[in-house]
Amino acid sequence: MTKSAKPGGINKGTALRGIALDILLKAEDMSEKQEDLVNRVFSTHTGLDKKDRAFIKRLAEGTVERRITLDLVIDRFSNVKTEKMKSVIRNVLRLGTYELLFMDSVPARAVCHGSVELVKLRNMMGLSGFVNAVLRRIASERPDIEAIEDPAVRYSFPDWIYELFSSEYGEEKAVSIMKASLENRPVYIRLNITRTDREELKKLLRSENIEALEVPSHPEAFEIRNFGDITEVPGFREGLFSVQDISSMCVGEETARILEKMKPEHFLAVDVCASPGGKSCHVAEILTDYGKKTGYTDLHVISRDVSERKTERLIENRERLGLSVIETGVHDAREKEDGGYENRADLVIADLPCSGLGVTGRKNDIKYRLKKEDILSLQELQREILSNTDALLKEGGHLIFSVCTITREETEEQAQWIERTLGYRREAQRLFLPGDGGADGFYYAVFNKLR
Amino acid sequence: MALRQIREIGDDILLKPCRDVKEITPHVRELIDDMFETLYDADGVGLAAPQVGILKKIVIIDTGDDPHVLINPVIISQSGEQEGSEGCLSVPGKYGIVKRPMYVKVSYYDENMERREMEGTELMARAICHELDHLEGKLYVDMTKDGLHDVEEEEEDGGEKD
Repeated sequence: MTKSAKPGGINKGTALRGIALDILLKAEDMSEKQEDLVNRVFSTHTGLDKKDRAFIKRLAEGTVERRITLDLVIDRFSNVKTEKMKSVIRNVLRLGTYELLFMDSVPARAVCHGSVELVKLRNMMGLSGFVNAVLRRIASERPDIEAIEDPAVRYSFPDWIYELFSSEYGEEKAVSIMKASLENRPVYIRLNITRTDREELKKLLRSENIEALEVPSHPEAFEIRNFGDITEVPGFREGLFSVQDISSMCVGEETARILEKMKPEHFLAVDVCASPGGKSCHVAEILTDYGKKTGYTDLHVISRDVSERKTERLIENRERLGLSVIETGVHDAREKEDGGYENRADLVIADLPCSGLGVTGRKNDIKYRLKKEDILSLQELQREILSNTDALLKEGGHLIFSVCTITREETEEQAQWIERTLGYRREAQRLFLPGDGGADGFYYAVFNKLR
Repeated sequence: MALRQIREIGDDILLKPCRDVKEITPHVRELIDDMFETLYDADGVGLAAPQVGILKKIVIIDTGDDPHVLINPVIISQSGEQEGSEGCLSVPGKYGIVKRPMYVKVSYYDENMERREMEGTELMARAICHELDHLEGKLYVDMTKDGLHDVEEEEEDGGEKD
């Protein structure tokens, strides 16, 4: 039967693939972060329902995440190498290959047909046969990704990052780090102890059929599953919990330990790169709870970040969670301190800009954007910030330094620099490698300013 | 994999009844693959094996969401009514207004010769009826309300090429 009986327009699958293609084409010049790009493209396509958005997001993000692997597979089945192709063709093939190899729910024929349609719609009729042929070959041979010999290609990482992981942690560990970054990430929430408790929150979540698994090492955390859109989960708008990785929760937990040990009557914490505010809010919850138990009231968290746009997110979270101990402010941590908090902070939280190699699974374009020389400039930037925050911290106060990466330059070397140059004493530290117990890759160290 | 020639009205093979498929041989698989390639190349929504010259009860349909392969299909229930335009890849350049059920349920075998059932409404119901008619040697041209009409030029090949 012909299509003339069909009520107008291109079919939906092709339309959705077209949106994913737009995201990839715009992502190629790397001028915008993938996350922002997806949101911006969605904002221009308002007619999409949740299911469509989820499909596009998974398709576009998955294709970016596996790009190096996909290009190798395409190159094996095509006479023209991906780097020589027109960008539309290259990205249609990447999308199609990703669907064929990683999205079992989509039948191969639909993928081939949808890709061909897409090429025709972009006025490249002459290349539709080529796209069809390459995808059909891939569909019928179904190459085994796990059999690709080079682990960097198999897990789609630039060589230099694989080499860096290998030299730091050994080859076997390097492979497991890269592999873990591609696996489905567990989602953790942290309950707001000022508003609810474990049993109550668990009951609420389970009443909505959301799986809430306890995390033995972190009593305030649940791993949640089957929840859809997090902002629609009961209790979210009411500020009963926040989304936070268990590794980041350690910063709040270390703060609780400090309070326990020092039992201070006054306490001022300054979070210097606070947005979106996960750590600030956690510390504020702990401080509020401490105040309730002790009757002390001179307890404050100053949460700062570099721009209004960033502090808006802090304010949003503070309001949602009802944390009046937080005061927000715009301040560039690279600037010298002159805001009146010099020598007053009992705690400085310095969760600093970093290479992000611990969270490549959540932000899947980081690994392509980052260059080797960036690591040293980030190390330098962190040192600049830490030199400034030194002015905030009073004698005897604590610094919690953290980064969501695992390079030696930004972890151990940085801790040694803090000891040597600032003269602080290192009291505790922990490195989480991706794949170790479900946490993100993360590093933190606690220092005491006792000179 | 190859494109097959679509037989056009006037070819006697379109008027003959088809035989049941007994087993899925490599030949049958190849036929199905070729039919899809031919269907997509012609930009159609459905194709029956006799349209490419093979008198076997095989029908493929893709209305835009998923491709379906129906082997030895039989309509087991239907209801309602819809009237609308219909065209056929074997009758190029023409369309006609045809009455079809609004809903059909079809029993068939899949590519692994496992028995399945499928329901369809609107376009899918129309496509199922249209393609199953081919297996009995029937064409829609004999069921139109007021004969065949010419498809306007721009409707036939306009739009996506420029």
